[in-house]
Formats: sequence, structure tokens, C-alpha cells
Amino acid sequence: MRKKFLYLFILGASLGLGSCGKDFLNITQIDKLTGNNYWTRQADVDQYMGGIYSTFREATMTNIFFPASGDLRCAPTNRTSATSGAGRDYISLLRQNDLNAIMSRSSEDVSNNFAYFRFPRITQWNNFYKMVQNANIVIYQLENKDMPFLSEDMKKTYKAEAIFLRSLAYFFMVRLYGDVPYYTDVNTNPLPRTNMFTVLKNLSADLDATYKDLPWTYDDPSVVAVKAMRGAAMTLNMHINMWIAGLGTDDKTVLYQKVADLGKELMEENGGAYALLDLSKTKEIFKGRTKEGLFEIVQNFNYGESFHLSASYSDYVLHAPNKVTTKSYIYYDPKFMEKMYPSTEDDQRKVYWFDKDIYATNGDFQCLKFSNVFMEEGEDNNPDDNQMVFRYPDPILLRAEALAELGKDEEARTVVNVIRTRAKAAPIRESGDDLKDAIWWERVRELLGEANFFYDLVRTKKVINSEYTSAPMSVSAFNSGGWTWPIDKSARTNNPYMQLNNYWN
Amino acid sequence: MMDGLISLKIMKQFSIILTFICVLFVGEAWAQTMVKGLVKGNDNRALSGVSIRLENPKRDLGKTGEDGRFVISVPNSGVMVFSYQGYRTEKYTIVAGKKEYNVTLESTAQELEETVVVGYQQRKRETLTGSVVTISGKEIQDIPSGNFVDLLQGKVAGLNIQNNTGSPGMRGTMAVRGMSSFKVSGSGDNTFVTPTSPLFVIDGVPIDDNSGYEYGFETAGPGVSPISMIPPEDIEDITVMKDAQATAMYGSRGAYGVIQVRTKRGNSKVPIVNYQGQFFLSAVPQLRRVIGGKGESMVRLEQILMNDTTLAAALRRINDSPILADSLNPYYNNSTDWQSYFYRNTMNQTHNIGISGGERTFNYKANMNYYDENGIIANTGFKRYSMTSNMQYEPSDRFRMMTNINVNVAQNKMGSGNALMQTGVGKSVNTTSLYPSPSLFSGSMGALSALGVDDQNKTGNYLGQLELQYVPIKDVRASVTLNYNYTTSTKDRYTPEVLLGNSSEVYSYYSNKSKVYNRNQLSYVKAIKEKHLFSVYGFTEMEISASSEDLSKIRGTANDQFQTGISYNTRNTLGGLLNSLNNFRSVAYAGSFSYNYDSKYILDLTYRVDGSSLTGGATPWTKNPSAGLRWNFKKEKFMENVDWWDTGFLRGSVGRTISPAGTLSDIYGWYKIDDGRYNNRPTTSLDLDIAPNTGLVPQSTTQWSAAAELGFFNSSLYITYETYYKQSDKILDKKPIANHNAFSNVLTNEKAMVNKGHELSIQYRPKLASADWELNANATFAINRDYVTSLPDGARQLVQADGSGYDLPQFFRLGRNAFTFVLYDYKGVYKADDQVPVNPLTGLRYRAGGEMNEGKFFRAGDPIFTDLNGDYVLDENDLVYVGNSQPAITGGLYLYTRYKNWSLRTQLSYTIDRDILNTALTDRFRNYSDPSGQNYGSGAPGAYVPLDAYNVWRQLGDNADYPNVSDFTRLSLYNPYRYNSTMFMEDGSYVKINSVTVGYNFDRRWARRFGVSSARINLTANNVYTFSNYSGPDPELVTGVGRDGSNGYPSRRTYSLGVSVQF
Repeated sequence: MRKKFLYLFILGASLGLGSCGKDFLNITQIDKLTGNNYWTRQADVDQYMGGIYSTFREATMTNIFFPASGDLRCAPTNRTSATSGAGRDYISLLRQNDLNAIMSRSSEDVSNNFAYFRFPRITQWNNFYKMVQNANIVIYQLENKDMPFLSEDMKKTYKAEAIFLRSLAYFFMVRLYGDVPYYTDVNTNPLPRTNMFTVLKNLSADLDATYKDLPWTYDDPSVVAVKAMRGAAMTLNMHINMWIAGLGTDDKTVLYQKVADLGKELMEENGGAYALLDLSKTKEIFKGRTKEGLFEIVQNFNYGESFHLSASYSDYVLHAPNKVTTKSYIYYDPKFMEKMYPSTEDDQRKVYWFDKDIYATNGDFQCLKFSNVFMEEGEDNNPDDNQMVFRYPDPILLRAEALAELGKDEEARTVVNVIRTRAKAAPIRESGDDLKDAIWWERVRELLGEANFFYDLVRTKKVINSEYTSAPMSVSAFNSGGWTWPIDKSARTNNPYMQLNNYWN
Repeated sequence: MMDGLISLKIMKQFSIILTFICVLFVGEAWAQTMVKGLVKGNDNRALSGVSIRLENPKRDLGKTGEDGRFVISVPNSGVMVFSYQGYRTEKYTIVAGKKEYNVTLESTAQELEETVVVGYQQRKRETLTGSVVTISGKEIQDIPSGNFVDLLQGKVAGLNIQNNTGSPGMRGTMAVRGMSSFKVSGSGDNTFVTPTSPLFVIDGVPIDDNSGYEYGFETAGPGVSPISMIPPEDIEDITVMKDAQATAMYGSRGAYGVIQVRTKRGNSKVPIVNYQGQFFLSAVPQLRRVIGGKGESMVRLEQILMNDTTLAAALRRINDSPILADSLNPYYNNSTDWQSYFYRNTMNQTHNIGISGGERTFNYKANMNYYDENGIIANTGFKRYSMTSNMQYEPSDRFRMMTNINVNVAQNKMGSGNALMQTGVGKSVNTTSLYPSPSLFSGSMGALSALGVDDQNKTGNYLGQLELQYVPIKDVRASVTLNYNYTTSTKDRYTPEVLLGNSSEVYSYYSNKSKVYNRNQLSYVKAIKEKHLFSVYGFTEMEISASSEDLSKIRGTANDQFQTGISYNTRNTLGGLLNSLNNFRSVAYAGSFSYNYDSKYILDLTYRVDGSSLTGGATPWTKNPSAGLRWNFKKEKFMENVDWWDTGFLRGSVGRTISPAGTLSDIYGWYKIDDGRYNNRPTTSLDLDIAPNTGLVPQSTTQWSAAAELGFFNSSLYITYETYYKQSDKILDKKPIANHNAFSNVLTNEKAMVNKGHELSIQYRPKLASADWELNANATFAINRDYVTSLPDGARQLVQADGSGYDLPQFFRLGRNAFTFVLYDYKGVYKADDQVPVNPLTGLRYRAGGEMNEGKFFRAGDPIFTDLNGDYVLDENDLVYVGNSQPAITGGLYLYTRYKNWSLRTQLSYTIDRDILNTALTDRFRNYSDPSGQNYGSGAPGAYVPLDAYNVWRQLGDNADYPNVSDFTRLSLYNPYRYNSTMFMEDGSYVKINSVTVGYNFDRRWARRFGVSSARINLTANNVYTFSNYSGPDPELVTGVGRDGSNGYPSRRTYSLGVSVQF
């Protein structure tokens, strides 16, 4: 009897072993690269991560995103003879914060429309959510898929990179729309909008936990300031906290202290990874990939990668010989320019970033920050400069601002004067509210054209004050969400929880 | 040329086998004495095919013939064993010198002693706990058919077959116990329900007929399924398994039921050569009615004169229209019966030769089949050449080897359509009769191309199979099955340049599919003290299959003589591998335990685990458990004294089958290299159409069933009643999601439905006193209702919009049947203007929706559509949800009577309580909107339906069934003949006489004079008549969602003369 069972067992086992299960079932589909055969080498992870950067460029550099949302909105700009046509009405409409008028003229069917500038894309968050979802997928795969080709440290670095990109997308969305649906797993369910401060606090916590896994900089010069670096994650974190502090009701001291600490760490512990270059190297700085850059969006004629013509701020502030047009498209109110760059004070930025027509109102005004023009004469192309998202002076000034808010005037002055010194301008000596003001103006001065202006106005609620812009927003508009963008109606499709922005929609 | 080669190959193979057989016989020693005799049942019926064996040494002696007689050679002493399914085995000792033996076999409770293979394991029917029905191949072999499945209609309770295409070689739709899914694809007239056909198991090897073949619909290839390759003449029997217990061992693909086919085997010491031939006439059934020639012209003229805005406008319209005004032009003055150019009667034939023989130690069969059917639509047809053979070698009780080698080639022509739809013909038939008949000069290219396109499709199917069985130790049986199946299909179509805008087209398609299948099985049977019988078996199953398709289309050859690859029009020329490349692997482990106590209580437990390359991620394995119980209450004490009641069983089963769905990219996502680069490096992104979902779970079907089997009066009356509750959960479907998820859709398992029903089959086989008479009747009845029980996101109802002009969306609401129509409620015709309701608030009459227009207000002769929301405007708020396109009641009646040598076999089937939308009629009524034939766009003006057949409103006061069709200036404004109205929803119930066969068996002695051991002729009519109230030609010829479109392929009626001779 026992022998029988033994035979049976042997037979049974041989049947069982005849086929070998899971490996046998894993097939490689030849015509499609499916997920079961992806994530098998480091290049797969790199390439997928590259897709997220590419999506960020897609979200921001294929339409008028940065100029409209950061530089021209509520800015004291004026149109010139080159932009007097009705097709450029949006410059005035942005100044007046009349976004609904812009949207109504963004369709091809309307005469004098702005379709070329693709404003409605700013109201569509699809690409930012594509970044979020893709980052979630990378994180999911890093956590769940067996990747023997990655060491634990490398996994941490990739994860931190994904979290940085996801946080960047959320931060951009919060600044655009206020409350947004928030999720950190691979999600397919409809979600309501989450309070923006909750979102921002989560982002900050995520970054706190992971930014140290990112390197300060890279040995490979081609990815410096292009791939996520620790400085970029820290700057993002500082921005997030400044946003909460500026608009929220939390204890501001804690937030400002955090910003100040992060700024200190960034400036003092970077081991020479970051530095302010001499302004005579302006062209290098804005071409990108220097020690001054923290996070940039790439374009390069040589690689065949160029931004859409509507995407660059430089389009508005250059004229021949840097462009075909003989007049720039905009100029700033003389009062504003005078406030920023008083004609009597020395400042190297006036030398390198502007020309003699710095105060001109006839269209001769130029801002030469972005002027790496490589195209042949006569062609209408924008400079081949990377888009600056975070540049080293940005966190320095945020740190100064936070210190000033904390009442540490002396420290704040030291920090802000780092910027002043580089520009060979007289150091700031004010204190108290005057110091805060001076630091704010220093930000405008330093970061003009880098899509910070409007957000600095909103964050500090200065947008309602005509001291800071000659195109202020009304208090009631600001309080009811006038600083946001409308959200495209498609967000409501298949999402019963979705509510759009009441101010606009 | 290709055919020639293949038949040559077949011949060669055949001759090899013949030689082989001959060699075997030479070696055989002939026995000593010839004896003869007659075998009868105790009901006095002669039994044919009774196996006669010698007890010791074990060997086969032969079989009885059609008349129950046998002539065998036996040794001088020994014991003959007579055995026959359904009868008790008898032993007769051979008495030396006795030459004639008359044997009577006692009938056991009929059917129960038979064995049947369930879950790859042979079982006595008496011990089954699941729902299994077997049909003998004989019942269907008198009817010529390209596909045996069509012939099962009405034979099995709960197997609903609708022969909704008459396309030769194609099969209709079939469902066991209702629909298991309500996924719908396509739109308009091309809306199709995802097929949930049962799994076919042919000689122990599963063939999935659902995937890959898709009936050639919207697929590039010939669309001939491997099921069409099986010659009906070669079928021994067909077993249909319906409930979860019976199908559980077939795993995921058995979720929709299993149909098992066994082909014939050799079982006679004397080789039997069997010829069956049938000559049949395929006749065109009733077609759609149209008006022709002058009649049509007059209707058009009258319509314009009576209804145009002014007389002047009418005259201008007539004069502007050459088909009405140019009475002398031969081009516009015809009476073309378009249908006559496409529909025709055809003569067809099929021949089958089977050679079989051998005994237990060695037997063989070779079957050759030729089937040639020309479709009743010109330029269509189906041919089959098949050569199937098997062989079995069993030198001892412990070892057995079986091999099958099949070679089948099918050739079909589809004209200008595909296997299911004849769009070209449908369009051409719906053309005004005033146009001239199709010719190169009349410009009716659509019609000509339907007739003139050279469309040749070939499908070859090659199969080799080996099965080994071995008993290593007593009670343990191990077996291995290996099968390799290879199918190639080609399609060659040449469209001459004159038919295609002066640019000819060569279209060629090639596909190949291969499958390796292996099953290793181990079984153990143990009886303890006679009464306890345990049986355990298990198997592993493995499948590797791959397929690829390529296609090339060359546009613009130099002239019609160049029908290959030279073209000047490279812009429209294309070719390459299609993106349907497929690789598939699956592995399964299954086990079964069965306990039988004295044949009184039987318990079955099965468990099967399936893994496939399509599942994976979070849920790689699917598990199918089932349990079944059977109670033979007739064996209990309290039933002992009831004489008239012979058998009584109660059985019940519960089980779950899970079928994985979705593709690799659905589960893991599809990674694509992006078009651009970032920072001069390539980047990758996921395809955003469908979010990967590693949590995708397979669809699951849970089925509870209970049944009673009762036999009365010496088993002459046998009643089987079954009831079931089938819950199909987690039906996979695509769900659009919110845009903040980046992906557009996600596949989810959120839909569910339930089928409930009852099935009854009654078999009556009286034991008649006279041996001259025999009577056998079988009636089946099944009622099935389906309900939607779950929709995505907990929604209570869901409308899936129809993007086409038909405006017939799919509507699902919890608790309702799955296939409901969304229609305007039609209540008749306004007899007079003042019948139209007036809105008291505005003083305006009820009107059609959209912008205000004088013509939109309803008036006399217009349809009364219910204004559901009472706003005096007819719009989408007035739609109602009505009808059910799935039949509720299906069944059939089979009758067999024999008097002496004459026999009569009839089969009826019925479908009751189903709703049909007669869209073809709508199409024809809608043709009235353009009487002058000027607005038809490209193509030709449409045909006119004769109005005298329909009660159409003509004048004030008419009490009509159909609204005014003539008021053409207003028709487009208020659209009375809209597709989505209950006006065209009709009752699709029907009773159909499927077939009537009269057979005659020639007297054996008489036949023997011609060296023939038996001969039979039969006359068969198939698809004889359909009784129905439906106004269209055929209530069966509707799509799965219940639409009778214009493009279907009507079912032919056949009359055949069959001859069957056995040597």
C-alpha cells in the first residue's frame, strides 16, 4: 500500500513539475512594450523619468504659460507700436486680469483671436497630472518591482527625484488653481479638490523626507540644473512654505524659520555646487547648466528641441538685432522701472541685462537677460536659453525675506546683500518694513522675466496694492479667488465631485 | 492549383493508411466458424451497432448491422459477450454446431448506463452531478450543413442557437443559459454583442471559438472557424455541458458552457466502408418586397403631385428629375428586380467516405469529406475538403495509444462583403427598380463589384494528436495527450479597375495560428466493500499558442491582367504585419474527487487553478471550484414498491468559473518611446488611453443549479427538469475617468448580471408491441431571463450613446434586462389635425424637437409619439425604455418514427418572446423621403416598399398603422420614420420547422446481392418553414442586439437527396 502511494506521489510530482508556472507564463509581446517587460534595467527608469521632465516642458513651454501666468499678469506693462493690433489685446487683458475675455477669444473661430498662444491650455491641468501620475507610477514600481540592477541608494535617489517632480507639478497647480485633487498613489478614481494648504503641507513633508537623497549637483555637465538636484528640491520646499505663510493662517514663525533654515543649509552646505557667477557671464547663466542654475527647462537648437514661439518671455522684450521686429512688444511703466532700477544708482544688472533704452516708452526697451540668439539674421526666433524655473538668487532672496519676516534684520540684510554685491550695487541698509520692501523689490529686480512677478505679488498679497504694480487687483476679486486661473470644464467630466473656480467659471 | 495539391496530399496519405490496414489484415488469423443471428432489445427493437466480443481471450468479433443482424466468425468454444449502451450486457456460450443465435438485450434505465466524458474523465451518466446532454451524431447527419452547430438548434434545453446568418460555413450566435456579458461594440447597424460562445472540445482538445475568429466580422481574413472544418458525418456524438459542475474542469474558457464533440472510431473486425452522399438544392427564401418599374414610377409621381408645396414646384421637381421625366430614356425606364441579380438557387453536393475497422487491440478510422455549397447570394460559397483519421492500439489492459491526424481545407468566397454582412448586396438591393440592371455601362458599380470581385479565401487546418494511457499499478491510470494544431488562412481578392474608380486593387491577406496543447492526467479509483467507490483524478494542462497576420494591398496595377505586385499608385498601396501579433501561454492544474455510495449518493468536488500569460500582476492565478450532489431516491426504501416509476434522481451543483479578460497592456500598461527627446535623450511614457490595472480581476460566473430526473413506465417517459441561477460578476469593461487621472480610461470589473431560468426536456420512447414500429420524441423547453445587477461607480443606469445616425443607444438599468431598446413610444396616427394636442400655455400644437419650424408641428397623418414629459415638444426627454432583444423562451421538438424500413425524422424549434427592430423596413420607408431621386448623394435612389402591404395613412380620417409616408417635404423635419421608435419594434417570436427527413432502409438481403451490406436513402428538407407574425422576411435573421438590418445574409432553404451505403 505504501509503495502504491509512493508511486502515486512520484507520478503526481512529475506532472506538477512538467510545467513550471510563472516564468513560463511571462511572455514578451513583440509588437508592444508592455509593463511586464519594462523596468528591467536602469535605462528604463531613466527614460521613464525623462518622460516626466518632457511632460513638464510640454505643460509649460508649448504655449504662453510662463509669460501669461508669471510675468505679464497684473504687471505694469504697456503695448508698443509692434503690438497695437487687436490680436495682442491679451497683453492688456492680462494686465487687467480679465482672463474670461482672453478665453472667449482663444478659439480659432473668433476674429482677432489668441488661438496661437493657447491660453486654454493653462486652464487644463492634464499635463501636470500626467507628471503626477507618472511620478506615482515610478514610485510604485520602485517600491514594488524587483529591480536588482538598482542599489538601495539609487532607488532612494530615483524616488526623491520622482517626489520632487510630483511636488513641482502640484505646486504649479496650486499656484494656478488653488485647491486641486491630490493623490500620491496610482489613482483612477474621481476625486474632489483638496484644500491647497493641505496639499502644500503634504508636499513639504514629502520633500523634507526625501530631499537629502538627491545629490547637490552632478558630474555630468549636461544634466546640471536639468535633472533634479537637492538645491532645486529645497528651493521648491521654501517656495511652498512661503506660499503657506503668505496666504495661510498657520503660525507664520514656524514656516519662516523653516524657510530660513533651508536657505541657510542651501547656501552654506552646498559644497561649492552652487554659486553666483559674475554678471559679465550673463549669457552663460541664462543659456543654462551653470552653477547658478538650480532647475531649468531645456531647449537646444542643436538637439532639435525648441520651445514654442509663444512660450518665452524674451519674445516680448527684444527687438532687432535680437529679433526681426524693430520694436519690442512691451515696455514697463517708467515709474515701475524707475522704482526698480533708479537711474541714479549703480547696478551691474542695468549694464548687462538692459541697454541705454531701459526707461524708453517708445518700444526701444529691451531686457537682454535671454539673448543667446543663434539663429540667422532675419529669422523670427526666440533665444536658445533654458527656461529658468529656480535660479540660485531665488532661494537666497526667499531666505532673506523669511529672515526679515522673523525680525532678524541683520541676518536678512547680510543675505540680501549677497545679491547686491554680485551686482556691484550699494548694500541694503533698511530695517523693519522698509527692509521687507527692499527685499521684495530686490526679488523683482533680480528675477524679472523669470515668471516670479505675479506669484510674488499674490504670495505677499501685494497684488492689491498699487505701490507694487500699477495694475492692482481689487480686494474682493483677490479674496474670491481672482488670483487663480479658470479650470477647464473638462475637469467635471466623469467626476461628480469636481467644482470649478467660482470666480471664473 | 492549391486545391489540387492538397487533395493529392490527402490521397497520398489515404493510400498509405490503406496499405497499412491491408498489411495488418494479412497477418490476422481467421477464426473457425461463421455464425449469424439477430440482436433485439426487450422492446422487440432490432439493435444496430451492438458490440460482440469474445470473453477469453479478449477480442472483438464484430458488430450488428443496421437491422440488428450479425454474421461473425467465432472459435468453436468460448463465450460471446453482447454489449450495447443502455442495455444490460449479455453472455452467450458458443455451442459447437449452432449457427444461429437470437439475442435479446434487456434495456436498462435508458441513457443512464451510457458513459460520457466530463472534465476529460469518462463517467457513467448515472453518476453525473452536473448538467450534461448528449446528442447522437445520427440525428443531424441527414442534413447538409457547412457547420454542424446550426443543426443543434432546439435540441438542447437551454442552448439557444439563432442561425442569424445564412452565409455558407458560418455559424449563428449561440449562448448557453443566456448571455454572460453585456459588452457591446460598434454603433448603428453594426452594433455587436461580445460573443460568449461555449468552449468546444474536439476529441479531448479544447478549441476556443470566441477569440481570434470572430466570424470574419471586421477582421481581415476569411473568418472560417475550426468548427466549420468538422464534417457532421464524422461525428459520433455531441455532448453539451451547461452548469458549473460539468464545466468547472475546463477552467476559465468553460465559463460559457462546453460543447464536446467525439468523432467516430473504428469498432468492427470486418472493415466497414461507408459512403454518404447528398445532393441538395439551396433555395432562396422569402425576400424583401419592393415595387418595380412603372408601379414605382407612378408612386413617385403621385407622391410629388399630391404632396409638394405647389403644383408648380411639383412639376419643376418632376421635370428636374430624369428618372421621372425622361420617359423615353432606356436608362431610367426599367423594372429591375435587384434581388434577382444577387439571389439564386444553387445545386450543391457533399460526399463522405468513412473507412473503419479493427478491434480492441487495434482499430482505425479514416474519413474523407467533400462539401461544396454555393451561397444563395451570387459570388459566395463554401467548400470543404477534409481528411480525418484516427487509430487506437491497445495491446493490453495496461497500455493504450491513440492518434488523430486531421487535414482540413476550407475555401470560401464572400463576394464584396464579409462573412456576416453583405453590405454591398444590401446596398444594391435597396436601389430603385427604375435603374438598369447591373452592367459595365450602367454604372451600378456597387452591384457589379458584389458580383464581379474575385474573392478567394482558403483556410487550412492541420492537426496531429497523440494520447497515451498507461496503468502502472492497479487502479491508477496515467494518460498524456499531446496536440498540435496549425491553421493558415489566406485571402486573395482582386477588384478590377472598372469597379473601383479606375484603379484596380489586389488585396492579399495571410495569417497563421499554431497551438500546442498538452494534458497529463492521473486517476485513481478505489472501491471499498463494493459500496463505497472513491475516485480521484487530476491533470495539468498547458497551452502555447501564437498567431500573426499580414496583409498587403496594392492599388492600381498596370492593367487587369496584372493581378500581382506591380503598381503605379504607391500612395494607396500598403502592406505588412498587422498589429494583431499574438502570443499566449497558459497552464492549469485541476483535481477532482468523487465519492459514490452504492450509486445512491454521489458527491463530486472539483478544483481547478488556471494561469495564463494574460493574467498576472496582482492576480496571476484564477481558481474554479465546484461541488455537486446526486441522490438516487428511487433506491430508497420508500420508493421500492412503486413499479411504474423506474428512476428518480435529484441533483444539484454549485460552482464558480473565472475567465480572465484583458490584454498584457491592459494589465501592465503600454510603454511607448516618445516622439521627441528631452535633453537629447530618449524618453518613455505610458500610453494614456487605458490606465494599467494590475488589480484587474477575471470575470467570474457563479452558478447554482438544481435538477430532477424522473423516468416512468419502464423508462419510456423520461423527464429532466433543471433550474439555475447564474451570476456573472466582475464583467470587464472600459470606463472613462476624470481627467485629473491623466489616463482617459480604465478597465474595471464593475458590471454584473444575473441569468435565471428553467429548463425542461421530455423524452418519450414507448415500447411498441410491433417490431415494425418505432417512435421516439424529444421536447425541450427553456426559459431564461437576464437582469443587470451592477454598473460602474454604483450607477443605477447607464446610457452608452450610439454615434451613428440610427440613434439607438444601449441602455442599462439595474434590475432590467440587459438589452433594452431606447425608443420613442409610437401610438398610431393622427386622424385629423384637431387630434394633435395643443399646449394651453402657448396655444401651439405638439411638435417635433429642435428649432421652431412650421413643418414641425404635427398634423393629420403624422405619428402619435407619446409626449412623456408633457412639454408639447418631442425630444430625447420623451424616450422610453422598452423591449428585450434576447429571447425569453427557446426550445424544440424532435420526432422520429419508423415503420418497417421507412423512417421520418422531424425537428422543430421555437423562440418566443423576443423583440426585434425592423430597421430594414425603416430603411425602405425612409426611401420615400426622396421621390424625385435627386437627393440620394452618391449611389442610387432607394427602392420603394409596396404600400398596399402596410396600412399607411393616406387621407384624412384614415385609421392607419403607419403614418403618412408621402409628405416628403416635411419628412426630414419631423422624421416620422425614425429608427428609434416603437413603430418598428415587433414581436420576433417564431416556430420553425427546421427539418423533415424521410428515410428508407433497403432490405439487407436485397442489398447484399449488390455486395452492399446496407443501404439507405433519404429525402430531407431543411429550414422548411417559419411561422411568425413578424413582418420582415425572417425573424431569426437579426443581429445579437435584435436588429433586422438590410445587410444580413438570408438563410437558405435546402432540399436534399441523400444516399448512404455501407460495404
